[in-house]
Amino acid sequence: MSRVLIASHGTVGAQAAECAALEWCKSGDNLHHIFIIADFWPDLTGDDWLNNGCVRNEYRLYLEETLYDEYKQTFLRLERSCKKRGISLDSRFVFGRTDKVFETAVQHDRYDRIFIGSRRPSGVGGIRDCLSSKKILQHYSSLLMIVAYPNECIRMAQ
Amino acid sequence: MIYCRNTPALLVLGILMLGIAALASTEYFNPILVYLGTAEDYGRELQTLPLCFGLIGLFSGLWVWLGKHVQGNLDYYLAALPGVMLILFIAMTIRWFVAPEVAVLSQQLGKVGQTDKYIHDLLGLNYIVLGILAGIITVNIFGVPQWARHGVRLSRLGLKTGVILLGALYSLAELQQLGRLSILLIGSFVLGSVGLVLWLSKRMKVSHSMAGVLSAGVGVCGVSATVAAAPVVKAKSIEIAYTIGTILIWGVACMFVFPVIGNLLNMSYVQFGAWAGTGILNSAQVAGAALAFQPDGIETLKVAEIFNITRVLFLPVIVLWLAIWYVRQEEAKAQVNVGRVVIEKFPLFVIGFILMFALSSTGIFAPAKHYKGKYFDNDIATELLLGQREQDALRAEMNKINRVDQKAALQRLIANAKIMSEEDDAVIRGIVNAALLSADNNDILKKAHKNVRHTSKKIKAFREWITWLFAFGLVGLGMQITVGAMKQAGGQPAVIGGIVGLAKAVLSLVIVLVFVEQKI
Repeated sequence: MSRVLIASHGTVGAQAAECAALEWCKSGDNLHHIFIIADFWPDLTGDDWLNNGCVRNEYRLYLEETLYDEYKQTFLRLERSCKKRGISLDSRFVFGRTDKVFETAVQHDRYDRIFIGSRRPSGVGGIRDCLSSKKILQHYSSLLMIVAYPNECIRMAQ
Repeated sequence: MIYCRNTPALLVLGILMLGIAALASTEYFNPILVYLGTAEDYGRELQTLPLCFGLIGLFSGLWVWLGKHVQGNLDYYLAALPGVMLILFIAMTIRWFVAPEVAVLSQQLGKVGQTDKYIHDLLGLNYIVLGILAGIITVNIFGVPQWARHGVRLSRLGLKTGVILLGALYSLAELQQLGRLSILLIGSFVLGSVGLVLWLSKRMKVSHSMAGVLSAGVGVCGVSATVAAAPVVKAKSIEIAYTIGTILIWGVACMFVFPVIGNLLNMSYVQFGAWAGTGILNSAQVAGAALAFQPDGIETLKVAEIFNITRVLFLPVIVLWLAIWYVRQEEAKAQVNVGRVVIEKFPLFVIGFILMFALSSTGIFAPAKHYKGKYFDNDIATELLLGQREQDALRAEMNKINRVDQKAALQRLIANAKIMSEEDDAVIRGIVNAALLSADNNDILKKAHKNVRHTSKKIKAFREWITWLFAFGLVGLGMQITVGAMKQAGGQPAVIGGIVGLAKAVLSLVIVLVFVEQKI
């Protein structure tokens, strides 16, 4: 029974990693999914000085809801696939610096394999907050799979 | 939740400030001030400000460090003090030491080419720009310490208070003229850029939510407009990130580039204020650019802020327009609550600004004539009147004056031994500037002018206070601009924002240079 970790922002590249992880997992394996809400979100409103508290609050609630919806979509997609394959899923979303969240997750538990998406090709949209594969390779002993973008699995899913 | 952290940081900041105050009051500090050329300008505030804030830091710092904190209002407000003190300490250090040192070094390098200006003047490297830079460097290299975060967020209150207080310094005529000009310019540029963004977005097949949030950000007032419009047009998270990243990069770049261009083109305060207020995407950076252009005065800031306020007043209207537009485009069944959108998005501090203007118009703070900083008053002591010898000297050169109004003003001055009216004062200054009389007599005229022109101490202090509030707000705002946020610029918003932002900056520059008078 293997323990597999996927860390993602829910981007198309991360979906490729999800697909590859699902392909690799066998029935009875444990798939751990961390959805990272990057820590730059509060900084994006740092420059807003003229809105009233209620406008800022409305924006905060809206953004939280939007980000949670993105997580929920990823979670539901993964849950469906895991059920079909008999894989047990443990999913959570964490706010913080991507590399720190990843570091904490890996230090806390041991995984047999870690799946992450690769850097997306230039010209493809998405948030700019990548995990440095160099850092991961230097610090972690688990098998690391960096999944090419976009793979067949994603094309089929789309 | 308990906000106060038991840290000695505030105490240390208080001690450092008291150290500056103590050093400034000794003779040993004078050579440094003379070298930096700040003895005359900042000598007094160097002793008083760090002393006041140092004492606050010392006593409240002891309590923050050693006290037992319980949940409540006192804890909440006290927790903001370390961050506030950190911003103030950075602003003070930059204003009194770093910016003057940069000026000294720049003067040593000599003037730049044919510009007749030193590098620091040309690049606007004054305490405001350096303070914002220090803020940006602090947050991106060292990070804002946990104990200061609560207070750093308070910097936007500094800016809002600054704008409200600024309301007291406008005359009705200024407000009418600037208001007319700003409604004309801002109205056409806001509507034009919102329309252009929507048109470009349609051509580039950008989603409606993206087009909506980008048009508000680029068209009205940057990040604040994006924050206000995002929930209304149901923007996706990535669209918000792209838009704010693009606006932040543009805003920060403009804040540094606009003053350089303004200096190179020798723009007047009015022209630069109008240009910055129209052409800079983000409203926070408008104040930064205005103070970068004129750091030790508020004339440019006054013009720029009127433009800013006009822009802000467009915000609820544009958000409402976008809400209706979005619902129609998406053929959604949702209803737009017009009243709710307008009331919620209305920036309340503008009411404070109008109230301050109304109050100052009643003369409650100072007599009306004091508001420009200098005022005319010829009710002077006998010893300040011109002596017989001085009157004779002027009388002897009367034949050098040909203009009737100048002759009359000079005759009245000789007869009364003092300048008799504000109009005469203007005419006498004309004689001085034209150097029509001998150097000695010119000095007599200057003395007569000086005797009837007074600086309003109250207004001078008020202006300095406003400048400090903006400096505090802008350094704190700099501490909230991260590379991580700016890095999010990209995708189609970067292309559309780039095109519209550039068009707005260039077109507003041309219009301001051609149509806006040097003075109001």
